[in-house]
Amino acid sequence: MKKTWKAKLLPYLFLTPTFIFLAIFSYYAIGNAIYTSFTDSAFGQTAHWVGLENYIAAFHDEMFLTSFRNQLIITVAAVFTSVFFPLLAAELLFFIKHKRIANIIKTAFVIPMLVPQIVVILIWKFLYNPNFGFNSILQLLHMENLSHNWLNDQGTALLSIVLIGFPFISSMYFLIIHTGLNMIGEELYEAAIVDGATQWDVVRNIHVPNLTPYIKIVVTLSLIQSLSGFGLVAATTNGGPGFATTIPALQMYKVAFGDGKFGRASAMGVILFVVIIILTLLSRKTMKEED
Amino acid sequence: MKRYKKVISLVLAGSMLLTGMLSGCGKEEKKEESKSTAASSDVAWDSSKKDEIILTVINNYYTAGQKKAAEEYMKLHPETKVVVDVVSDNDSYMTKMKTSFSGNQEEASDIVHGNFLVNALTGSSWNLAFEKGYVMDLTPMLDEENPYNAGKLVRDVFEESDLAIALNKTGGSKMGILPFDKIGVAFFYNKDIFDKEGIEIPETFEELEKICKEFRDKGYKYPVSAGLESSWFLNAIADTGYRTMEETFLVQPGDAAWDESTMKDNENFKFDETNLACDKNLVNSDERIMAYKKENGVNTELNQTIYTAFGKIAKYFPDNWVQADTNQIITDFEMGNSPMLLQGSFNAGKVLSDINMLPEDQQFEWATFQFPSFEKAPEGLQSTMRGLYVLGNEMAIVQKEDKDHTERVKDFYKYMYSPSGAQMIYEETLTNGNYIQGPSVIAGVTLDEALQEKLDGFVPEGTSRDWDNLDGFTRVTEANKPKFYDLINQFSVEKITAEEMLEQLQPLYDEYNEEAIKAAGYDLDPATADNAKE
Repeated sequence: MKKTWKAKLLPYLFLTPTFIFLAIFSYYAIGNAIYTSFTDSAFGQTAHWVGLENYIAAFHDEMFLTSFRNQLIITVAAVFTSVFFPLLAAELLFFIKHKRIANIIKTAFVIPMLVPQIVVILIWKFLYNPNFGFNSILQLLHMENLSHNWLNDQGTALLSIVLIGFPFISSMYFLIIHTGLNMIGEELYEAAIVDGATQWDVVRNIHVPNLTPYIKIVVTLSLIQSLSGFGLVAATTNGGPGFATTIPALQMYKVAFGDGKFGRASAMGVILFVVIIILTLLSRKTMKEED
Repeated sequence: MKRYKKVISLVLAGSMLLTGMLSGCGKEEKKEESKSTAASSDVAWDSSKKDEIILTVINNYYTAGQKKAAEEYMKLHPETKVVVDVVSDNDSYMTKMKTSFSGNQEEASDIVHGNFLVNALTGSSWNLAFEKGYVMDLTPMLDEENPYNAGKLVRDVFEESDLAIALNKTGGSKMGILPFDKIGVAFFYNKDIFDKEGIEIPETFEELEKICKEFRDKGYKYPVSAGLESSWFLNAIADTGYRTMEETFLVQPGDAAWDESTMKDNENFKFDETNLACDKNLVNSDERIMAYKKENGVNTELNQTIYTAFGKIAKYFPDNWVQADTNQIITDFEMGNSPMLLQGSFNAGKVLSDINMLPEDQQFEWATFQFPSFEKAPEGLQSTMRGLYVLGNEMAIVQKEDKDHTERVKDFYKYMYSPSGAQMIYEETLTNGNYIQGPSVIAGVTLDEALQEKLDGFVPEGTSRDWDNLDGFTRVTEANKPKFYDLINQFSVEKITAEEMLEQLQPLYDEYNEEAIKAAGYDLDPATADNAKE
């Protein structure tokens, strides 16, 4: 039976409102940012077309370039922790045979997700406080010599930011991977039992290959989240001490709302946008090849 | 049972009678109140129309008091809703100024912290803020009646000298703010630690340096707990050098900005070391200062001397003091980690209440001492160090076209700047544990004796002028600030010398100045009027 043109059109009609909103709130903003990046748009002044000037300035901005180094460390750590720890937790949960206990543990992993991110950050900020938190624990253990002003020390600030959220399980990524594990068909396990596979064999040969699409999603999401967000850094060190923890998105924000240079900030934003797209494509391509 | 019912009905009847009598009294009071409202009911706006005015403030400072003032004001003028919009911190406040003024100014807040507004929008230039029409000139309002002060003029509650400070601070020809309070900066010190360690209060800069070393030798890692506010100490040192050439930076007869009525003290001025207040009525020329900066840069011999002297004390500050969290540095002092704290009067109330809340065995006696003068000043600097005692809460009115609305905003502003309004703001602020910034400059406002005594310790002999523009401290773009902070940190821990620091600061300073010149449209010839970049 052939579909009528009306039936063919119907799904597109349902999608239209979403696309209209996307066009207004996302694509227009992106387009406008790209246009603004070629102007000298600044607070309180009329904008003029300046060509590639803002891009040249961004590539000559030593701090903007340096901030990518910090970003690289933060992003590599974020992607690793977003995959490894939730995967580990999901696997451990999988092998708990007692359903009730498994459910309790699962709930315990999920409940912290309900706490707003800023509260988590503030708790960690307290833990890093030089007079309380970790330093108090070190003092109790008579290890005062190891105490630091964690977020205010050039040597420890970046690492302290990376470690915020430890043990990195209470996140959406855990739920994604856990769901992925539950989607694996029983017949594979039955075959594994027949073949006399160990638990490690199950993880290596059944779980990991079947979880690849889910891991890809987690990698992509964590990559984008890590590159585009700056709330964590802004709320903890604001890029300091000096520029030890400055990242491109934070620098862009400061140029836009600190100096009011919207043209320059837009160019930085476009560069960051391109970097995110390239890295996302690269990561997906790499994982595809591994498949 | 019947008897009980009778008793209950008697009690009820009695309570109704009492309530009636009390409400009668209330009505009488209301009548009294409405009389005072009636006195101010001859208002300059259409009272049959509803409107909303927005006061945007930074969290904690006077917040509770301002909310109370808004509540009380709305009782007098129910047709005007006053919204107190509280912003969490300085950075967020500046961002808010940028975003709200990049849209329709008519929709922006009505009363704002003027110093933050100019900092965010015009590189701290009040003249540019007036030129761009961001803020209202409050000079004409001074001669208007304040209906909340028995019909006296608005100016009647201020000392002329404080009005002069407000005028000079905002460019010399227009007044962007009215004085509300004064703030000072001083060294807080823990008397108990000083007594325990047998260390005397320093009387000279050299003694201060010596006791810092003694404290460090005794195991106090950071003898002076300090944050960004410590730049005022740097400013005080800079003052000992720059004030000798102060005339270079003043508006002069023949300048386009010259106004005989407000700037006559500028003429033939030369700093008199025997009269430390001799320059209090002077008006700076932004353009002359800019011309000097452009010609000399920041890496001058004088700045090297200033920073070298500052570094002698800054090396006893905490690491990365320039980006330190204020609460953190105060806590370090309160916990006895640092025997001294370099802070402003605006945190004296907090320190006082925090210490009172500590367990008795952890409480300690504290007081303040002023910036100590040099015993033997480095070459190029004068010996006597002046402190800082300037206007604190700088509230400006945003310029709007809607006349009816503006009249309401002005009326609420007058309410806050009346003796009873200001007293209410102070009292409510203190009751709620928010911070007052310093003693009030509005005649008739009084403070609790203990707090007043602490605040008196912030009043210096003379007040230094603002020299950050010339010593380059924080005079870089926001984007370059992290690099600047890094330089200051390296300098403070003696990784680089003052000269090396200033050499690396030079390009950042130049970039900032070039942008400021462009924005203000300066041709660097003070004799010609300039137009800000459109």
